[in-house]
This record gives sequence, structure tokens and C-alpha cells, in this order.
Amino acid sequence: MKLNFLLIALFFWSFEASHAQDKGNLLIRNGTILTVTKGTLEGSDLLITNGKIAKIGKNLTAPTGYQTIDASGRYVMPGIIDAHSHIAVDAVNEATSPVTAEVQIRDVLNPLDISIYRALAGGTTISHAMHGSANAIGGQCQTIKHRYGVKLPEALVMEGAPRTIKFALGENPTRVHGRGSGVNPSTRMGVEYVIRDAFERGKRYMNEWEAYKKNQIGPPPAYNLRSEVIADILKGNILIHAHSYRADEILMLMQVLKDYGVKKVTFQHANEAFKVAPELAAFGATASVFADWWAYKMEVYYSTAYNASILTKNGVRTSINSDSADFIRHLNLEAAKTQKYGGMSDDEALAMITINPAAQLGIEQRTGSIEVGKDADIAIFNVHPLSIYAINQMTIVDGVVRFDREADPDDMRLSVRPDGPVEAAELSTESHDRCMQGVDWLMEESATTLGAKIFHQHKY
Amino acid sequence: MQLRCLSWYCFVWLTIVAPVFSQPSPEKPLAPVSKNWHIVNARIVQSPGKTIEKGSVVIENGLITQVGTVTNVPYDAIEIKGDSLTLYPGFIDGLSHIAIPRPKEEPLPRIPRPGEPDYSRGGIQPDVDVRSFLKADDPSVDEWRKLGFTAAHVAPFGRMIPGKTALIFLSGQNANQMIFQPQVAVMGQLLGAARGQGQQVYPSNDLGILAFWRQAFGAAKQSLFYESTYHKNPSGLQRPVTDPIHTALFPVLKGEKQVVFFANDYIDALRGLRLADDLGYKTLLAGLKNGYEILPQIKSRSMPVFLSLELPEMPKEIKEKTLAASTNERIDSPTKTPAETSRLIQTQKQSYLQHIRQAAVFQESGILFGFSTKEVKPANIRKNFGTLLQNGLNESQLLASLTTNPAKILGVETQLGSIEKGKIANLIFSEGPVFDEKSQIRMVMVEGSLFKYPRNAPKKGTNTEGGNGSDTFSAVLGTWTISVVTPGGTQEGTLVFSTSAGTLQGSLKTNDENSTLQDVKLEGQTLTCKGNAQNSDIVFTLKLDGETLSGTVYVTALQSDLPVTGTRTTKPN
Repeated sequence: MKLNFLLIALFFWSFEASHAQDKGNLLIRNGTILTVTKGTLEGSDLLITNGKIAKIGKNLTAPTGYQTIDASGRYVMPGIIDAHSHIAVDAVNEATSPVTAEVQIRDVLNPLDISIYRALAGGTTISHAMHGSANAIGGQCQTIKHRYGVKLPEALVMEGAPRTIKFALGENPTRVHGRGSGVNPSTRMGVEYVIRDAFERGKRYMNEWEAYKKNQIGPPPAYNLRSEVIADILKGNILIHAHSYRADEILMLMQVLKDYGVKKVTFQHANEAFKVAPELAAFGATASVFADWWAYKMEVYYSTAYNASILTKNGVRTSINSDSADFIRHLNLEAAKTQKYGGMSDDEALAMITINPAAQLGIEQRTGSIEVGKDADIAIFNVHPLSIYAINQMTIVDGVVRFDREADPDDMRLSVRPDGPVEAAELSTESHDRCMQGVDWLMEESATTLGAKIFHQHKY
Repeated sequence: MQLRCLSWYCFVWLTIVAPVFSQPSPEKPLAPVSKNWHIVNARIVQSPGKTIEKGSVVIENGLITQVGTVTNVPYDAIEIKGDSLTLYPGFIDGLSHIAIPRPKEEPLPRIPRPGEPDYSRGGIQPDVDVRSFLKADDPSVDEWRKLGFTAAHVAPFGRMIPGKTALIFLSGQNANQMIFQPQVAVMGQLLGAARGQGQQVYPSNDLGILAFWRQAFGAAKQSLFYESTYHKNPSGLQRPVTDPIHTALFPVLKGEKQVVFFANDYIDALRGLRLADDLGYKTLLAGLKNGYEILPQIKSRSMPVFLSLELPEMPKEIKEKTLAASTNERIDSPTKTPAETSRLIQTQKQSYLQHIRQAAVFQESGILFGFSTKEVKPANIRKNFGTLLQNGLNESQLLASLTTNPAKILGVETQLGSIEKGKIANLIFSEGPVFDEKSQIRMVMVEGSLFKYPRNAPKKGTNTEGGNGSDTFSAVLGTWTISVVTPGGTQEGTLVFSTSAGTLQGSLKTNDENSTLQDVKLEGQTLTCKGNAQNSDIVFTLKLDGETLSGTVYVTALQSDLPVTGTRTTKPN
């Protein structure tokens, strides 16, 4: 009975201790620093104090107690930011109503999702955990930091990140609600109506409250959380991220927003955005797209891999997103595709997975580039991250090493069932379908008739 | 002829009819000849840690009037001879559906706008009172009473807010007699709206549930505000329109009642706490299975909890004694090597141990806790008590979590939870220690009503009492191959037991060391002994079951109990 008690005890103790601290102190030495916004610095050091970038320069010395990481021959870049994902959540769609502005992804965060660790393995430090695309106005999303190892859902929340909300245009809301439940919307016109109707209710609600607050006599207007959130959108307190594909629906939403004075919008997917790039630029809208992925349903046929490049050249701030627990692990390669299709510069390509998504999430003052004062969210690659040979080596969030390829046990799950069969920690084969998670019931309920007609193989 | 007829009649009477009459019915209380009782010469466990070795108890009109030395026995008190019995205070369940028939799950009709159900259709029903569902003769009442439960905190079946709970006694002819404390709390849980035919209805998952919850409480808060404003001075004010759902939430918003939030998983429990924090009401968690993850959150709120009494089954992989050899058959993907599988099993073991040690961890943290029986099968209760006792909880702590603790949590500690003068006579009459699986509960008293349970026939081959020398110890003598599940892997070893001069001797043999075991004791089927391995003191607590054994070894250096399984490989003739 070889019980190596001390060793075992030590292992558990050190595991606990490494996660107890949320902000780290580090010195990353002698790497090629890709700042993204301030050029590339060869043979430079990065000093991280209390989770923030404190100094960038040559021959920096680490104060006592700092861990030193040798980045000789390696590339140090800002942690990758994914503006569209559905990892680390227990529910994606509240698909029962075409407007569910009141629901919050923050309520359903799940820090135990192994996908967070896998995203870290690809250098992604921040993701935008989004509501799905079943509803014209879906739920409020949550920008999270990949602090894998924490067990409290709230510990994932990127404190201070602006509120965001999911909108969805086109086929998904029309088939779920119109064809699925027999309620509005069943057409693109219907989607516009549903959004305008919700805005109108929100505006009225806001006005009623303003009137009530003036004299406060009589009963207050009936409390309505949904309208309260819509009112916050109209006041500009919530950033809109709209699932969209076609040029006409993109123009439609910009017109609606213009009518209500809402200025900040990011079009998600936006495969036809290249057709309306000047209009997007004029509005000040941004786009978050796939590098080269389309044709999975009718509204996504007219597409091009040059989309991101065309948008960038037209002055539309563009990011490349994953919408997938798989793609989130190699967004650097997705960004590199914009160099093949459209000849983006290194900084332009890297910006699409760092500072641009940061801007779309309203966190560009704190993340998305390597600058003094910003959060120390860092990915260290073996070669240039846009190279096909790039493999992420280490990922740092708030100065804490959350992934290290050299210390990467097979099983990093934080929780397993106490009584069920032991499953291997495998990558799910269905990693691309969470956008429409929560509407499977439609499929089940009417597998023979309705479902077969309205559901295609893909669901994004 | 006549005589033969008579003897035939006697034969029939004695063999067939009489036994039926003389069998006490476990279902119904004895006829109330008197409501007063005198229990004589019993061992009385008054409360956890407080025992009278031999004493009497007098009960008048359902209340305990004298305990220990009895001076004044009412003339009509029925005497119960307690010489071979131990008295315990009746158990109190923290949250369940005892006495409530499970409603049939019928598909509800479609509604035209599934995204806009009214409160009731969406599952918010704080106006519902569990009282209207109570069924005195529901089989669950006797099932749980038989196990020593005399009171239960019960909630209606339903969805996210199924209604108001009540503390009931497990006796009585109708709801009024059963209810001890009405409307104790409002129950909440993360359960979305029931489906309509071919449609899902809002809220369909946690996203909608939390939002709908906020909507209901937010609206109720506003109603409460306006109604109180209006009632202060209604003149000149538009009258408030009341909604019974909002009104039912007022006591929660005013802090008069709590929401008892049922959740197995700590992440779900945190969602319940988040709602309580955001909306500003008091909440109590029930049903936790992995609450050890949120001890600081519970502690900082000075909040008591009801833990789930359902415990996980020990996984097959942990029971299997030859883990290393069995791994090759589990390779079902290129990424899953035998070494990885072995580590996965270690992770699972860790999880299993954490789950069964949850109560012990709460005890150590000083958090007041009881148990919810909502999900556990009555048949598993006594086994689970055993598991809890083998995993860090002692008998008095377990007793407290079933008696004094829930009484305190539910605010009835002056009336329930212990055998003391002035308290309600909810008692267990056990043949021996109440948590010993072998000692049966023979009677249960609920508020002075006595329920008798006939003795079950003992299982064959388990009786080891009596005899001497090697006969007494035959159940353990011989060589046992054991495996111990350690955080660093499964370890094999051999235990050898023999007798010398009427006492048990034992030794432990492992790969690299041999050691003698001390204090080898066999009590019933439980074997305990102390030893040393790898410079650490260890204590085995093993349950024998024929040719196999299972239990734990406490390792001082690790400060934890590790599971042990084993089989007897040789035994003396």
C-alpha cells in the first residue's frame, strides 16, 4: 500500500492555492511583443503588477515575489477576444417569446464548463457569452473573462464591462415564432414590426415613469422588466449585437435604430455586410463575422471570404468571432485567413481578434492591446500567431497563468458526477449548434411534419 | 359430533382468525382508550448527547409532562414497558412532499401566446397553500413515520414557485389535524413552466425563470408600496388593483416569511441566493448535494440549510477492487488511455467522497443544518444514515440534524426536537441505537398517538451474537484482500485475522511493510482496528457482509476517510 500522503496533500494544497489569487504579478522576459496598437517590440519584457500591465521595455527586473516567464523566441500578444460565443452558460435561448430582453446570461453562467479551458488553450481570454438567436430581441449577454479554475459563476464576470443585448433578424426568429408557435414574426417584415413594437412599448414605459416621477401621485406605472430593459437600450445604456445575414435586414435595423436614436450596434455574422459597408461605416456600426463560413441555410448563401477585408477597407470596425466551442480555440488562424483573402496587414488581422472585438464590447480602454495600464490578459505563442504553425503556449488572465501547455493535465474538469459512468474529457462533436439551443423541442415535437419542413441541418 | 364441531371451530379460530385480530395494525393508531401514557424503564436519549440510562416518561394529552423520575402517574395512563427500548425524539424532515399525492402529469392545452403566460400558467403560485393537497392516509405518511419521522416540512408539487409550505405531523385524520405550523415559507425552485401540447411555455429554462421571478417580485414590491401608501390615506387616491399573486408575496417582501429555495447543485443554489440578494428578501436553501462549494457564501449570511438526504451510490469503478487491470476495457476513444481512465476514476472518487462527506463539512464549519428527504427513497434512509456516520458525522451530530437543528431552523424548538417536559410527545421507540441498521424501530408516537411496527424476521446468517471463542469471530477470521482508494491511486493490501486467548488479533500487509493491528474489535458486523502505514496512523472501520467487506480507513496524515473494499480469500476450517 504505497500511500504517498505528503505528496498527495501537497498536490491538493498547491492546486487550491493557485486559484485563490485572482490578480497576478509576473515578468514576461525577452519576447516579441505584438502590442497590436503600438507596433511590434522585439526582445522586450512585460512587467505585470496586480493583474495590470505595469511596464513594457527592455531589461526590466522583477521585484521579489514575481514569477518570471522566459519568452525568448516566442510571441507575446494580447489575449484573444471572442465577440460571439456560447460557452460557460447553462442555457442559451429562452425561445418561448419573440422578445425576451429581460433575461440575462449573467444568471446562467457556468464556470465549470471545460470549454473555458479549451478556449484558454487557444489563447482566448475573453468571450462574449451571448443569448441565442431564436428571438428578435433575445436576452442580455455577458462579457466574461476566462478565469478557469474559479467555481463561482460571478467570478467569470468581467467587472465593469458594459451591458450588451442580443437581437436576431431573419430566418431564426421567423421559423421559431412564426412557423413554430404561430405568433409574430413570420417574415422579415414581421421581425421589424416586433422590434419596433418592443421599442414603442419601452419608450411609452419610459415616458410613463418620467411623468410619474414628476409628482408621484397615484399608482406607479405597472412594473415591466422587459420594457425597463428596452428603455435602457433606447437610453443608449446597452450595446446591441444583432444576429443578421442579409444586407436588406442590416439596412432595416439601422433605419429602426436611427428612428429611435440608438447609436451603438454590432452586426453579428453579417455575411452580406460587405454589400452595405459604406452604409455601416456612415452609421458607425461595426461587424463581427466568420472568416469563411457560409451556405448552411438559405439566407447565408451570398457570402465571401473577403467580407472582413472589404469591411475593414471601408472603415467598418470588424472582428472575427467563433460562435463555437471549437473555433474559439483557433481564432488566430481564423484571423490569418483575412491575410489570404484581402491582404490584411499583421496588425489589421490581429486587431480583428483583439482590439476590434474589445471595442464592440465596450472594453477597449481596458483590453485588446498590450499597453501600460491595461488588464494583463496575454497569450504567448511559439511562432507568430498568424502563422499556420502557431500553437499557443501560455495564457494569462489578469496576470494569473490560467493555461500552460507545459503543465496541462489530461483532465482539467472541475466537476464530475459522483455516481455516473466516467466519461473521457472529449471534444463535443456538436460544437456549432448552440445559437439555437433551447429550441430542440420544436424539432422533437413535430419531427415528422413541421420540424422536417422548417429545420435544415444547420441552426446558427 | 358436537365436540368435534367445536374443536374444528376452535382450530379455525386459533390458527386463522385469531392471529389476524391480535396483529397490531401498523396503519392506524390504537383506539384512544386514554390519551395518557406512562413509559417505564426505558433508555431515554433526551437530546443529542443527553441520555438517561433508565427512566420513565409520562405523556398527557400529547405533551411530555414528566421525564426521568416520575412522581405522579395519571390513573388512566397506559403503561408501556420500555425495558428493552431506547427512546429518541422524533425526526423532523426539512423539506419534502410527504402526505401529498403526486399530481398526474397531464399535457396542458396549448396557449395562443406561449411567451406571455399568466403567473399561474408560468409556474408562479405563491397563493397556493399546501394545506389543500394534504392527504392524511397517503401511504407516504406511514412509510416515513415507520422510519422515525414524526414531523415534516412539506411543500406542494408545482413549478418555480409552487406555493406555501407547512410543518405537519405525520398523524391525524385530516389536514387540519396534521398541520402544526401553517404557511411556514414560500417554496421556490428552478423549474420552468409545464409544457403545453406541442409547445414550450415561458419560462422554459433558468434564463426565463430568473427573469420571471424578478418580474413577479418587482411588481409585488411596487404593489406593496402603493397599497401601503393608499391605506395610510386613501382620500383622493386611485384605488389599488390587487393581484393575489402579489399579495401572497407581501409577507416575503416584508421579511415575515422566507423563501425556501430547493436546489441540489450549488450553482443553482447561488442563483437562488442571487435572487434573494437582488430582490431583498430572506431565503433558506434546501436539497443541497454539493453545498461544500459555497460554505463561505452560506456562512456569511448566517443561513441555515437543509441538505439532501439522498446520497450518491458508490460508483462501480470504486467498488471494483482491481482497478488497474480493468482499465483497458474502457478505452473507447483515441484520447482515452488506461492511465487517463485511471485518473478519471480518481477524480470521480474525489467527487463521491466530497458528496458523502457534505454533512460532515457543514458540521465542521458550524453551519446549522437539517436534512430534506424530498428526493430520497424511504428504503435508502437507514443505509444513508450509516454512510453519513462512516463519513465524518457522529451519532449525536446526526441526531441533532434530524431533531434539534430542524426544530430550530423551523422556529419550533420550544415544542419539538427533544424529550423534555413541556414538549410535544413525538417519540421513537427503538430496539437499540436508532442509527444501527439492525435495531428496528418498534413504535413511533406522534403527539401522543402510538403507532406499532411488528418486528421483521432477522435476516438469515447475520446473527453472530452468542457463542464464544472462534465462533464469535468466525465472521472475520482468515485472510482478506483489500483495496483502498487513495487520492493517488488504488492501493492493495492484505488483512489477516486470527484469535489468541479469546481475543482478536490482526495484521496488515502491504507491498513494502507489515504491521500489527491494535484494538481489533468486532461488534455485530462492524470491525474496527488501528494500525500504521507510511508513517501515518490509520483506523479501519469495516462492515462485514459474508465474504466481502466494505468501509473506510481514516488516514491521520490526510485527515480524511478513504473507501475500502475487500474479499476474504482464505478462512480457517
